[in-house]
Amino acid sequence: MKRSADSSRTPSEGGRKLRWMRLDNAAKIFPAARRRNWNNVFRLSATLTENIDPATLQSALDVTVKRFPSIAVRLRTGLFWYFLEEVPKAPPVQRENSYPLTPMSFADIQKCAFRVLYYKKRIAVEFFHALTDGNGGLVFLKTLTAEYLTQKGVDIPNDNGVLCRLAQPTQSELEDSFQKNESLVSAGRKEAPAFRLTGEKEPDGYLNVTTGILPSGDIIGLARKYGVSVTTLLCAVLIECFIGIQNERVPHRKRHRAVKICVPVNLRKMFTSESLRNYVLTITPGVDPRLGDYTFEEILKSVHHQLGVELTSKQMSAKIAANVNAERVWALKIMPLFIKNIAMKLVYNTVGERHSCITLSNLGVVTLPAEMEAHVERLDFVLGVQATYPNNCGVLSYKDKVYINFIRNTKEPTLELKFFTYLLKLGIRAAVESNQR
Amino acid sequence: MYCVKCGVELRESETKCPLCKTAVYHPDIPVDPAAAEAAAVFPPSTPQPHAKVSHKGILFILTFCFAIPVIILFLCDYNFNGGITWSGYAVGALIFCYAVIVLPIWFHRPNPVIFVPTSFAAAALYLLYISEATGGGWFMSFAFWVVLWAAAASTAIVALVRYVRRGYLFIAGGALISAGGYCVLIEYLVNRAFGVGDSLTWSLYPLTAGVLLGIMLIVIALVPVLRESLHKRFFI
Repeated sequence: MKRSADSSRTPSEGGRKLRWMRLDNAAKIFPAARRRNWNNVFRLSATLTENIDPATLQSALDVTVKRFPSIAVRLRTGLFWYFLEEVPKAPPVQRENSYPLTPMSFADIQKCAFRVLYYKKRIAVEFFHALTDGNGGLVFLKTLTAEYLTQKGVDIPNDNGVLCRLAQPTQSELEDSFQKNESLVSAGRKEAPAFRLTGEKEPDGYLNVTTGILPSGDIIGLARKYGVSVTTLLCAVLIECFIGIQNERVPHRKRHRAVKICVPVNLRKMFTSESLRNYVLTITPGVDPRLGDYTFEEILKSVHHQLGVELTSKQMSAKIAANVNAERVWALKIMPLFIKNIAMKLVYNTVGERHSCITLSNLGVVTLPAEMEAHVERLDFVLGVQATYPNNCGVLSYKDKVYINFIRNTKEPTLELKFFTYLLKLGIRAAVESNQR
Repeated sequence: MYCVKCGVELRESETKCPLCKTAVYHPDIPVDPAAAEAAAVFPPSTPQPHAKVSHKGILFILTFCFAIPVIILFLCDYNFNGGITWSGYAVGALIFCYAVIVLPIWFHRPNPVIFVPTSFAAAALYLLYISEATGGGWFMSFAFWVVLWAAAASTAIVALVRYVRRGYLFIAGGALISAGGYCVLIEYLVNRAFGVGDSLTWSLYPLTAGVLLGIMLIVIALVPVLRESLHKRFFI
């Protein structure tokens, strides 16, 4: 029996049959890795031209959730594995808090693993990462916003990632695509630990978001000048910043650690998948400062070539095989969930976040139907912080702007200051905004 | 609007630069709270539930793990011998281990300058118990002074390493001289308490070695040229 057939319906809650499905391969680690004040979450938001009407947003959400049975779900606990179960009705929309990605407790996730927020002109959706990745989340946000605008009287066509709300979800949208594209050979996972940025934590768990808004043309022009992609350029700037911070904080070079950036790769284009669940793998380009001083051009060249080597379907399918094979070990399968949780948490805490200094997730250029673009001013993508590393960075480009969202759970904006002033040195002036207190 | 310090452009929502914290201030433009609120990116700060993570649960379990053998040992000893005999030594050792390993973890940031002498105090109490239980009477004449010297020297080294963070050659030199002197003290106390002899013999050798090596390290620390030269000749 194929794994995709796992997605089935169970009778429950007032007679309506609720769909349930296994966690996809990438999602399995997220519930196990949870901590009391931390869960792996991310957020996508759309800022419209007019203030949000909560009643219409709720109505739009009620319609949209039915189209996304793999996202409008809650996490349930089985004897051997966690699983996702469709929520019987859409969660109530909420007004935003003073900072994004406020803790989503495990009890909340067991009721509904995503939330829809509004503030002034902005609609935001915060997802538990076990449901979907940035690209899947973006389709949800686009469709929700399209439905909201439709209910406000704007006619929005179903293209550019906006799905028809009345159509039935297809099997390909619900599948775990990891199970289809593995190679015969598993890629090794051994990697050197990376430098870890530390700082004084916000005592109440406050998350600081600093957004840099850059003209797309400037940054694309600069990337073209160096002959690299925008992701490579941003990755190199981040590496340059981390090297600078490490030089200031760790005087002895022999005690330096590798500076690496975790870059998620959307596998949908590589393997032609329509899945709305997690279908992303990460690669960690970087440099080892113990080898000597790097010029910015050297970093760029190194990152460019590392990405070139890693970003092939063959390499990616070998990485998929490593993850999928681990999941298929019988001894692991028949282990009760509470033991699996201990083992997976131990693995995550030991090696899960040690291989990179930060995650740089770039959703690329986001387009909307022309009728919708007129009503959507901007889009933002904010990654939650990692369990032990204080910073993360989400990037997307919309219309003629690039939005770089840094999040941190510490007080000092050390990395952000270095990053934006370095961009200024390269000739790109960012407009900066934040939720600082 | 630009930050005068780091040069980035600031959006209208910012009253100070989010990067370098420089206040945005223009003497000709009065601050309008309503405009600032209208431009705010997020609602005003409200406290959010934030569970404080505590390691006390694990510490209670550890304490429990120490307490169980203590109770079992006492019960066994009481059942067989009708009082505390051999179990006192084992329980004393467990309490000593607890004081050295687990006690510092109860504190948020255990300071070794406090917990090193505390550990030696626990050792002294344990030795006092053994001395009294065996009727040896050697605690005040021998063990107390041995532990006191070791505690004073170790605490001084830990405090210097922690707070001075330099002059490691001076610290190592002083530690070597102190170790030599410690050997002399032990031999003197052994002679006095147990009547083994009436003169110092073996302890003079480690004292000489300790003092010579200690002075050598201090001289190396004092003369940079010598330090450089030795580094050049003996690097590994």
